[in-house]
Amino acid sequence: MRKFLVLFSIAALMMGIAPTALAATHLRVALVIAGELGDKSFYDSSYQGLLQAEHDLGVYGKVLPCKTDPANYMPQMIAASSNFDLVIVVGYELIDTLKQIAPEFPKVDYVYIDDIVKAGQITSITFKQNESSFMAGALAAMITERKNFPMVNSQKVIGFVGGEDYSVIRDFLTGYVQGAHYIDPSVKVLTGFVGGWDDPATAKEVALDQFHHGADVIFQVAGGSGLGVIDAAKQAGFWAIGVDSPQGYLAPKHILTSVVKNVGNAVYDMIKARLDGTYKRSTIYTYGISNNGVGLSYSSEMLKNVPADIFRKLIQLRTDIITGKIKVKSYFDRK
Amino acid sequence: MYIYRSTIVTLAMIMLPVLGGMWTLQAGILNISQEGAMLMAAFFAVLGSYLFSSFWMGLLFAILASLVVNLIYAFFCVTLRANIWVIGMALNILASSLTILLLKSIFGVKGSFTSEKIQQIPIVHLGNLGPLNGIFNDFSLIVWITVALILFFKYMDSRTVFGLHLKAAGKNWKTLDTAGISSSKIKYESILINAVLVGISGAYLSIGYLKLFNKDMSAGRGWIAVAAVIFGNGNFAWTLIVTITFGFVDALGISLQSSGLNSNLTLMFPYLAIIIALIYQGVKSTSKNED
Repeated sequence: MRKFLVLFSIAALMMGIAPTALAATHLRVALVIAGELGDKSFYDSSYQGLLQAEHDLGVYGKVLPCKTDPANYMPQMIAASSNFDLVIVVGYELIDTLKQIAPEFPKVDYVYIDDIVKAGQITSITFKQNESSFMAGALAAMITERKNFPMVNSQKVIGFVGGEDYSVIRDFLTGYVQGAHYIDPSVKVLTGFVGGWDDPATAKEVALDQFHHGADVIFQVAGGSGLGVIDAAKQAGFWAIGVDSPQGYLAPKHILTSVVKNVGNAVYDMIKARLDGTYKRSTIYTYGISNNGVGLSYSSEMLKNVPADIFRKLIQLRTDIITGKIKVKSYFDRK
Repeated sequence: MYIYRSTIVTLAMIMLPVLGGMWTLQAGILNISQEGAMLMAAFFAVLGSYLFSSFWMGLLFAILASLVVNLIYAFFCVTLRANIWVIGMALNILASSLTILLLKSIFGVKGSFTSEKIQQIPIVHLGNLGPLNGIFNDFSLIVWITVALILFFKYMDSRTVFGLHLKAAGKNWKTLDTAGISSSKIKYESILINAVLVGISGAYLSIGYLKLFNKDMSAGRGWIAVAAVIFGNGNFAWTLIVTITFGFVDALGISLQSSGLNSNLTLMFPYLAIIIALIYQGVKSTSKNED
């Protein structure tokens, strides 16, 4: 293995990735992503953080995309590790490679985003999607209870459509249900899973079924499948809540807001901490509502669609979560 | 009541590939490339509809894309007598990657594409039918085309010379060739008919039921159709029954989720139904052979 690594690193060096021309004072930051830029979501958001750090903090940054090809994982990770001081890794596909590489480069700092990787000097960043989902649930409950509001029926029913049934998605759901029940315990939350991230047709079926069971606000956490939910909202006439990136532009009259993860903020903070000397190895940093890691997207569409009093209530809830007055449950707590 | 509409919608997405697949199976070719052809058709339907803001162009593009995939399949499997699984799998994998590549190079996006310029296949409103509103009204044009095609193919299957030639090409192509009718030609024709049907179903998926393209959005529907065709084994009635059962079970699974049943359980329903059907058929045919 070691021999391989050495060979790989020599190859990487020969390809001229080493930014030798740069002054030694610059912090060199690599962003290794499993896929490619242009996803309008996770990768792009982390890249924004890196760009901002380059601009504000004067670090040298580079993106190394792996294009979801496993043959690229090892070479890109080695290229990053042998030429950069701080390596930020995005994409669960890279976890195994990261665990193998990190011990070989003890001088390099590694940050893994959106899950906990317990190995060597790797620092992990997790997001409290349950907190932002709590806000979404509260919003949905307030909308469904409202009288004479467009596209809202008399039943107190809201919906949730997930891509696949696993822990992170369940964490979204946990927060969503708690948020809805915080407003009114009698609100019923219908839950459906599509069984895949690329099946908008089935997702639309699931959403329409929930709609016919009385749901008038549906929160989708379903990647590409989620577009089917938004399509259903436009066709049948109900409110949808988007996820990951501000999706309001997809259906300005049918999307209340989106639950977003600000991966970029976390990336920026880590780089800044590394510069200030406050960065800690083998630590877990948690990003919630309090440090703007997660939240609702306060887009122009949201301001138009959500009544002012509900908006004020949401701001109040946000403060309550930050001050600890409201304890948001997490799916990961139940062990 | 909603489960009825949900069943019809699910059925419309798989019925045409089933009809087409049954057709080619009668001519002696199991068509494995349905999934890939459907996906390509779904992509080109969006492209055509987007470029010309007309669903007719979307349909045309979809049928042409499906024709290309099916012609490649026919050329290898009929003319060159290649292994159907190798060619079928190659085409399916090709379609999955090619649509992503085209999505990126034509629309400059990754994963999915939607636009206001895409014109959807219209919904047929028959006016007020009173109590029958829920049963007949407001279905996509494709649903009615599908119903018409089922009846047409039933007629073709049992009442025409072409239907007989088709069965002869599948059961004993040498006899057909000796009678002076090219069995290869009949096989090609069956695959071309299949191409048109799969093209329409792909268009229904992307610009009929939805108004977007997402990578791999056919999501196994082509394979379900292949399973139904294998089960039906060229028998018109059985093929339809198993397809309708599948559509109903799929809709039922989704509906039960809203009633609180675990999704891991309900999402297996359709596949479970297929497996049970295939086991039943397998047991039946072995016991027949023993007799």
